[in-house]
Amino acid sequence: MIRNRRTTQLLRFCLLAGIVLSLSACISTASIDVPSQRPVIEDRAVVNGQPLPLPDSVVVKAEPLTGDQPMSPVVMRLIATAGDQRRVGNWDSAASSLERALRIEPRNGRLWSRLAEVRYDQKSWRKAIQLAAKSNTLSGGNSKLLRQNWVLMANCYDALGEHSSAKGYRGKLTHSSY
Amino acid sequence: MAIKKITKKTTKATTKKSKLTKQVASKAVGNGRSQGIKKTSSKKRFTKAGRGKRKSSADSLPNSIKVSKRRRFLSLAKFWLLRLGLITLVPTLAYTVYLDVTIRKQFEGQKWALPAHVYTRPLELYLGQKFDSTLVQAELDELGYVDRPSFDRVGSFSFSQNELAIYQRAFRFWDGLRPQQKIRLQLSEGRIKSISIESSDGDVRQTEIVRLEPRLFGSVSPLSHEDRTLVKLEDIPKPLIDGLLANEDRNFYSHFGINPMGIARAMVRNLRAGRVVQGGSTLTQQLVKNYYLTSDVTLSRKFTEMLMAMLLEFHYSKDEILQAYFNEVYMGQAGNRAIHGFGLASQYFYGRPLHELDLHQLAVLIAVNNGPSFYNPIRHPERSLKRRNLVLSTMLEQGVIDKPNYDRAVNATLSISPTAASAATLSYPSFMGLVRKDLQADYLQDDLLSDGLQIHTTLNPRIQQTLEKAVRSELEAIEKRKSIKANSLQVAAVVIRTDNGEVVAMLGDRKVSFSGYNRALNARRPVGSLLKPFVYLTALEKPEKYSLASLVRDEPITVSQKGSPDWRPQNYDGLPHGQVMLIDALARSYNLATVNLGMELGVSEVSSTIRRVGYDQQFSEFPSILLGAVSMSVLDISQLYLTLASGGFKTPIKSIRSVLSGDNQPLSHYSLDIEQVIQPEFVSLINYALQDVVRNGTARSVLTGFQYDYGLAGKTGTTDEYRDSWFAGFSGNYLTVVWVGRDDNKPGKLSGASGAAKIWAKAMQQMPLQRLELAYNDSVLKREMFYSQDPVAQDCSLSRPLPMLIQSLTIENIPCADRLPYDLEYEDDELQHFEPLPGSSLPRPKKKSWWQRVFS
Repeated sequence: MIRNRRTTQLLRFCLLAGIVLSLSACISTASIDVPSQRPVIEDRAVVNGQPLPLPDSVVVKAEPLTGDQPMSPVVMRLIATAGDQRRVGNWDSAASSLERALRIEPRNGRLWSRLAEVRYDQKSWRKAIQLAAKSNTLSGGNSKLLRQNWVLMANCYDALGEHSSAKGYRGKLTHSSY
Repeated sequence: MAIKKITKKTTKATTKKSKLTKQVASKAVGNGRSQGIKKTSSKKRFTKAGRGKRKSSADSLPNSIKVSKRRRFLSLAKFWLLRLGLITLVPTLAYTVYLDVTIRKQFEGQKWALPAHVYTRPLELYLGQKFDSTLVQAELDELGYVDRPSFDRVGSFSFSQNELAIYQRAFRFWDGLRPQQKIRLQLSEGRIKSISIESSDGDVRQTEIVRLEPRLFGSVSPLSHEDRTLVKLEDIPKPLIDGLLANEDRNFYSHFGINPMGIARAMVRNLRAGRVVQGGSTLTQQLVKNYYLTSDVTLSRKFTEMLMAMLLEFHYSKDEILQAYFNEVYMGQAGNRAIHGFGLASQYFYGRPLHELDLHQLAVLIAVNNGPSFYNPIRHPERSLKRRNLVLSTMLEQGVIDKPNYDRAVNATLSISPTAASAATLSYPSFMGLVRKDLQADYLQDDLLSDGLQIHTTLNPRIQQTLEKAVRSELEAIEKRKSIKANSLQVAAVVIRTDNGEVVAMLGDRKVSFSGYNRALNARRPVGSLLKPFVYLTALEKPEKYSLASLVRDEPITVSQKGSPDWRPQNYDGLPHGQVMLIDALARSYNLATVNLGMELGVSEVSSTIRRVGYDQQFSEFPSILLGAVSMSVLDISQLYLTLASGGFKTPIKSIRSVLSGDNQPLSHYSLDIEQVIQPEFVSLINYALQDVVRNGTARSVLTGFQYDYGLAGKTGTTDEYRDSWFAGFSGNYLTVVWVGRDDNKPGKLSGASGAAKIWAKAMQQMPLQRLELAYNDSVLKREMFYSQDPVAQDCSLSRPLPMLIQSLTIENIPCADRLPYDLEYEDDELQHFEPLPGSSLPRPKKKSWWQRVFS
C-alpha cells in the first residue's frame, strides 16, 4: 500500500517536474494574484456535482451614464424627487425618497452618498459620516464617489471639532491614488 | 342603573372617574325615582286637601277657632309639601342636567377613543421590475380590489396578458396624498416595461414608479379591544341609509327621540306573542344604549335611555345622530378585536371601503347590525343570506329600491372577502407584538389607544405568508422524519432586510394566528454554535496573526476556571481533527478548534466583539460563551447577524417606517441609521467563511432546492442533547433566523442542520433573493491557497481561492507555507459531522484515478 503510494508520488513528481520545466520559460511563478481592479473571489455553490447558475438581476439597469455606474430609471427618478424635496428643505421626505430607492438598489453606493448629504444638510454630522462610510464600502473603486464622500466626512469632522480626523480625510484626497 | 362611560379613553384616571360617576348617577337616579313617586302622591293629597278646604269653609263658618286651626294645619302642610316637592324636583332636574352635560361633552368633544391603526408596507411597482402576477394578484385581493373588465369603479382592476390596469383609491402616505387614479402597467418578457397614470381629470402621464396602498391589518386597541374606522355621513351610500331606516326606524326623521306609537305597537305585539318579538326603540335610543349605557334590561335603564334620546334630539340634528349611529354600533368580533361601526365592518367583511360596496353587500351589513353574532355572514352564511333577503324585500316594500335592483341583489351570492374568513391569520399577532414594543418606546399608551394614529410598518405580507407556509410544512415533515411526537416542536423565526434592518416577517408560534407567548421576541435559549463566527471574526481582525487559511488546533483542551470544575469541551462527533484551516474549522463547526482559538484570543476579547456587533444584554464572560452558552432570543441573534449581513454596519432592527396622526399629518419617520462596527475587509473575510459553511460545511444541505447560486451565508447552531436547533443565514437582501425546539426544554433529536435549517431553506427558496456579493476593498487579495493531499510528502497539490489581507501575507502559520499537513480527502471521519442530504446516505468521497491524483 505504502509502496504503491510512493510510486504514484514519484510518477506525479516526475510528470509535474517535466511540465513545470517545459512551461517555466513562458509563465511567471507569482502565486499571488494582485489585480489592478477589485478582486473577484468566489467559490460557487455546487449541488449534485453541478454548480448552481447565477440569478438574474432584479432590476434591469439603464445604459451607464458617462463615467458612472449604471443606474436604473426608477432610482434616477427617486433621486430627482429627493433633490426637489431637499431644495425646499423637506429633509425627512428627501430621506424617505432615497430610502425608497435604496430598497430597490441597496448596493448603490451613490444612493448612500446622497442620503449622507441629506443628513449633512440636517447637521446630523455623525449620521452623515456613517452613511458616507457605507457608500465607500459600496463604491467599487469609483474615485469620484470616494472623493466626494471623503470631502463630506472631513467637513462633518470639522463641524464636530474633530479636526485631526478631518485632516485624515483631507489627506486622503491629496495622497490617494484615486 | 349604570352609566357606561363618560369618555371611552381607557385610562386609569377615567376608569376611576367612571366608577365615581356610576355611584353618583345611581344615587341620583334612585332619589329621582323614589321622590318622583312621593311628589305625585303629595300632589294628589294637596289637591284633595284643597277641595276639602273649600267645602269646609262653606259649611262651618261660625267655628272660627276650628277654622284657624285647620288653616294653620293646611298652611303647614302646604309649606312642607312645597318643600318636599322642591326637594324631589331638584335632584331630578340635576340628573337631567347631568345627563345633558354627559351627552354634550361626548358628542361635541372627541366622540370615540380611536386605537392606532397598523398597516403593512406598500407594494412598489417600478420600471424594469420582475413582474410576478401571482404576487400582485394576492396583494390586490387582500386590498379588496375586484377584477372588473369594465374597469369603471374605484377599487377595481383589469388584467390582460400584457397589461395590468388598476383603479386606485386615494391614500395618504407619509410623504404625501396619493389621489384616486388609474394606473396602467405594460408588461414585456416578465418585467414592467412602462407605467402610465391617468388622474381623475383625465390627464395621462408616464412615470417610473407607483405603489399600491398598504393594508390595514390590526390596531393597538384598549382593553375593550373596541376598534373602528370613522365614516362621514356624506361618504355613506344612500341605499345603506335608506335601507337602515326602512328596516330599523321608519319615522326617524319625524320623531323626537322616542316613538310612543312604535312603543305601543311593539308592546301589543309582544303581549300577544307572550315574548319579546319586536322592539320599539328608535335609532336614537339604540345609539344612546350603545354609546352611553350598559345592556341591562331594567325599567330604570329604559327611562334613562328615553330621557337621553330626547336630550340628544334636542341638541343635535338628525344627520349628526345618524352619523354617530353608523360609527358606534357593534358589528362583530375578529379574534379579540371588537368591530364597531359600518366603516370597519365593510373593511372586515369585504376588504373594501363602504362606498365601494354593492347593494347586496350593504344589505348584509344591515342584517349584521340586527344581530352581529346571529347573522355573522362568515359563521352563519345561510342565516345571514336569509336575513339579507328580508332586508332587501323590506327595502323594496318601502320603495327604497326598485324591482330590477332588488332582483339583482337578491340573486347575488354573499361574496365575503377571502381575507375576512382568515382575518385572524392575517392579523399577524407575532409581528404586532414587535410593533407594540417599538411603539411603546416612543409613544404614550394613551395616545396609542385613543388618538387614531396610523402606523405604517415594514411587514411584507407575501414574505410573511412564505414563512408561515414553510413553517407549517417543514415542522410537520421534520417531526415525521425524526419520529418526533406530532405538534411537540415549537418555532420562532424572523426575516429582516439586510440593507435597512426592516423586519418583513415574523413568527413566534407554530400556530400563525396565536397571539399569546411570542417566542421570537421573548424566548431566550442557548445559541450554541451561532456565536462561533464572532470568535473567528475576533481572530480575523488581527490580520497579522490570523487569516482564513491559518491553521488552528482542533485538539483536546482543558479549561480551568476558579471555583468551578475543569471544562473539557468535545466535538459533536467526539473526535479531534488535528490542525485545520480556520475557514474549515468554522465551516465544520469544530468545538475544540473554536475553544483553542478563543482561549488564545481571550474570552473578554470575544465578548467585546459580541457586544460591539450588537448584543446589548448582560452576560457572564465564561469560556463556555465560546460555544454559545448564552441565552438569546431570535431577535437578539438577528441583530448580531444583521451587522455581518449589512457589511459591518450595525443597523437597528425596526418594524415601523412612519407614523401619521389621526388627521393624516405626518408625525415621525423612522430614519435609516447605521453605525460601522466592523471594518469592511474583516466583514468580507468572515462572510466568505460563512458562505463556505453553506457551500461545503455543516449547512450544505440547505442548497438542495435552490435554483440559483445566491452566495448564501449562514451558520448552524445546536445545543446540548439537541435541545435547540438554530439557523441564521442571509442572502444579499434578506436575513432569516430560525429556532426550533421544545417549550419544556427537554432533549430533542434535531441539529441546526436537520431542524431550523430546513425551515430556513424552504422559506428562502420562495423569497425574491438577491445574490450576496462581498465588497472587497483594496486591502484584500485573492490568493490561491495550496494544501497537501499527503501529510508526509507535503506536495501542496490541492488548492482553493481564498480572500486574504495584505497584512496576512507574512504569516507563517498557513498550510504549505510551512508545509503543515492538511488533507481533506483522507479525513473521512469529519464527514460524520455533516448532516446527510435528504434521502441520501452519508456521502463518501470517490477514490480518484491515478491520473486525477497526479493532476489533482
